[in-house]
Amino acid sequence: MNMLRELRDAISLQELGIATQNPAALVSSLNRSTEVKSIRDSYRSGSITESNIRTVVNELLMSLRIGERFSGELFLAAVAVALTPFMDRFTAEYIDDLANLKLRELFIASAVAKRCKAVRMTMPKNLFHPFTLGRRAERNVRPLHFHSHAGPQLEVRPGSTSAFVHHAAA
Amino acid sequence: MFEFEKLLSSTSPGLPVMTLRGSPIPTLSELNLAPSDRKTWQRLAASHKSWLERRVPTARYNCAGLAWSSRRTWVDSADQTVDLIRVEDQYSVLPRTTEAIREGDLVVYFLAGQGARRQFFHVGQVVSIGQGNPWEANTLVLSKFGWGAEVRHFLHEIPDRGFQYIEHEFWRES
Repeated sequence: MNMLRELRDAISLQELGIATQNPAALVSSLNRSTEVKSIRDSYRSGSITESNIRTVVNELLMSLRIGERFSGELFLAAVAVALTPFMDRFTAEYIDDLANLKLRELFIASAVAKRCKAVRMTMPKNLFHPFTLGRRAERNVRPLHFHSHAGPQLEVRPGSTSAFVHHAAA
Repeated sequence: MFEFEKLLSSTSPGLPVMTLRGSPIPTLSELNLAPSDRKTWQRLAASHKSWLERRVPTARYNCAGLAWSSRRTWVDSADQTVDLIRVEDQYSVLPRTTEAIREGDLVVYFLAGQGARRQFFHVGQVVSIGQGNPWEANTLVLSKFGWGAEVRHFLHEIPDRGFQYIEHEFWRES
């Protein structure tokens, strides 16, 4: 959670937005940034959850004003880039919804999300088996990974209401 | 996600701009700066002592708007837009020599691709050709950094935090 708030307030992110407005260049740069890598790792390990991201994004969007430059735009874009490799319901919702917004104030974030969406289309398709976890599991479960050399990988993430079966790339 | 924002729609385009061949160039409407923007800009400008600000920050136009819309509007900086302008405005790439470059030529910066195509990064206008060696390092450029100020700066002195592979070339319209 703190990591998300630190990224939200990061000066480097603001300066990146000043440096270039080309979505492709922003995706390349964000992909290389340590902050995005940290968020990606934390989401993978479960130390950042869907709920954390929703909270920070909703807090940030409180400062959105129509007709005014939105200083949180690059943060939204950075989260989209960080979530790109994950094929779960939340990341699809986040990236698709951001990509589909038609707001001048979020134009660059949407353009970055469109590129993330395009990248996801080229990634191996995963089988998706949603099911609801019990309350106990949501509170206590650490990410569980069931590996087999040839078969799919099951991932259950704390705070998530779904689990996913990832098939290795063909 | 973004439920409230989905209800809003404010994608009014900026002023119409066209290439020489008449194709529309995507533009975006003007935004006011956020209260924190001035401080963000001052922090960035303070780390570039040689920058000379020509005018205060504004989100009316960006670097591409300075180069290709005469400061009137914000020009979309996607690669396909820059490719369209390069082809339809008939820009040619100049040899990188002091003899070839003139004041008024454009310097176009790219993020070099690692196995992929390079990506447009920034554009400015040459205002003074550098002397000595290396002449490019002493060449002065007028450009605009996103929603920040319009600045005269040395060719290599652009905000490149997070960008490790920047290359540039000089363009002149035919």
